[in-house]
Amino acid sequence: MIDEPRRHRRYMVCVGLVILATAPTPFIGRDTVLMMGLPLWLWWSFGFTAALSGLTAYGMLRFWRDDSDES
Amino acid sequence: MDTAITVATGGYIAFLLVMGLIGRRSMPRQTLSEFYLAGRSIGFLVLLLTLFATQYSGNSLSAFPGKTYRAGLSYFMSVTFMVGIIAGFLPFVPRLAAQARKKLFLTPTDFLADRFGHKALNYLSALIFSITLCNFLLAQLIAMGHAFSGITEGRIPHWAGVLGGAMVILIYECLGGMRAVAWTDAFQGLVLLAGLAMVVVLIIVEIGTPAAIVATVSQTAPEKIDNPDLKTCITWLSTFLLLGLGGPLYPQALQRIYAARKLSELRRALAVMAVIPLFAITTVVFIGLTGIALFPGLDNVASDRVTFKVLAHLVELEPLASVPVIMVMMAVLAAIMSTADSALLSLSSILTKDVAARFAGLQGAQIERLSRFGPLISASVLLVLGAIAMQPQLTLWRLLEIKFEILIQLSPAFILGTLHERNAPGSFSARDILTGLIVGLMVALGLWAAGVRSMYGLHPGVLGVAANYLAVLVSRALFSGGNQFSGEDLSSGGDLSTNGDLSTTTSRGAFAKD
Repeated sequence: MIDEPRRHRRYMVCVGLVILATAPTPFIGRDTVLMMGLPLWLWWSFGFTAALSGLTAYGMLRFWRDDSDES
Repeated sequence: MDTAITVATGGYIAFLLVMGLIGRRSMPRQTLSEFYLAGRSIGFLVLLLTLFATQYSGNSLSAFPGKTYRAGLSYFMSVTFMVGIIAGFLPFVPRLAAQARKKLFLTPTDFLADRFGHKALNYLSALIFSITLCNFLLAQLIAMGHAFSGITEGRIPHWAGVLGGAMVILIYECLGGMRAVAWTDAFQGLVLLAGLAMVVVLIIVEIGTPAAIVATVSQTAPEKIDNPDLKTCITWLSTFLLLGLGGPLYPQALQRIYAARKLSELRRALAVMAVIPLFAITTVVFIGLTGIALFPGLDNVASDRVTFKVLAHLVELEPLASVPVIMVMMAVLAAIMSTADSALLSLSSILTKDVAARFAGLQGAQIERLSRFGPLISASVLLVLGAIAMQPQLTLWRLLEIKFEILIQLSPAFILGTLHERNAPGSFSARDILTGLIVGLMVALGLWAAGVRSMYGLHPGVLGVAANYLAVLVSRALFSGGNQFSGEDLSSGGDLSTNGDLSTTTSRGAFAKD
């Protein structure tokens, strides 16, 4: 019996939305604003990239199961 | 400094050669599986470090800072897409890994042969893997020339760096196969991580914090930190798709998945790999940004060497920084060589198993005898690519893009191919996948040949893969009984009867029931 991340639709939708959010589209056409010396859009992208990273690691560990694992 | 660099480089090369010898002695028997997959015995730590060292290449440490230098801070997208490469494993790797363990796959094409059993698809996929690996290896050889030339400030010319590095790789790889490559990768991975940590500290101490460097760039080149525009955001997502779908199909990465000792160790290694870009690639972008602040006005090829320029500048500022800088330089060299050796080994396995053996219609023990020719194939490949690499005309980034444009076209074969068992109701047939693959390649290569590098920010490969998936779905809708189609079945010729393990016969029924 194999379980895999793509069988968990809510998880995969969540991953897809976070991927879309990594591109700093809300900042298009606006002036560059700095926060702690770095552009705000960079903080935005870094935050969602970190979220994607965490979600990916979580999916690997939580949703990937294989009964033949230790064979 | 010069003597220290010479000693460090010599010591590093000697270590690689010793690892080759140890790998040779640790090989219990000369089979394809032992040579190309280390007997499927790689544990968590070595697996993690070899995955890391293989994924973080000359592209990461030479091309990415160069691209950041040219594009500005918007190239932070590289952090996102390096995470995306690991996220791209989510849809298909659990089933692929399970099948690979059960049926003892040796090359990525073995999965396609087992799942679809179609000769044309096998040859076409082997061709795509070979082209992308040649491209990848060529990029590493060029980067190796840059690295030796950059580290020695031109005393070792580019061509000599290419030639010498290629010979070292060939020797330790031919001696120890995947074992030597994985062990040297593990060491190279550690050097790379330590080197990246040191370069961050050095830049912050000697040049300035990221905020200070951004402040400098905002004075000299404010457009490099501006909010990305719509086209850049589309390119951001397009690049994510290009690498997120294409990156997991690196043959050398797939073969590391085959080579894992346990699935639990593989899962943990991939989970850690998903987090690493947040540190490693952010550092690389930071180096490129520092280059903008320090060396304005570099051209395309010169900007690929911006990492070495920054390191040399650090030593000028603080002579005591030479020790960590030497380590960073070794890390750059390690990144390049570890990726080159993995690509070479993978290419050799595909040319041996998927091309030579199938073309000659070899079976069983006859295929095993080909393992003796692996080193010869590796040497021939290096000879040709080394000659090209001595006269680099393309930027490293351009080579990277061309590779992914075609590799991504195999995405439906793996993602959709792992959805169902072979011949199961509703499964995708070889005809569906082959139709999509041909359509995708025609769109991607057609656009590329027409000089289109981007259409509204979208890469030709991404447009091609969209057409590819669409064609697969249309083909299945039109030929609903298509899952019975198997074209020229593998049973008529060279096949999967062995996968590097003489005792194993691959079942023809594809996936076992869950």
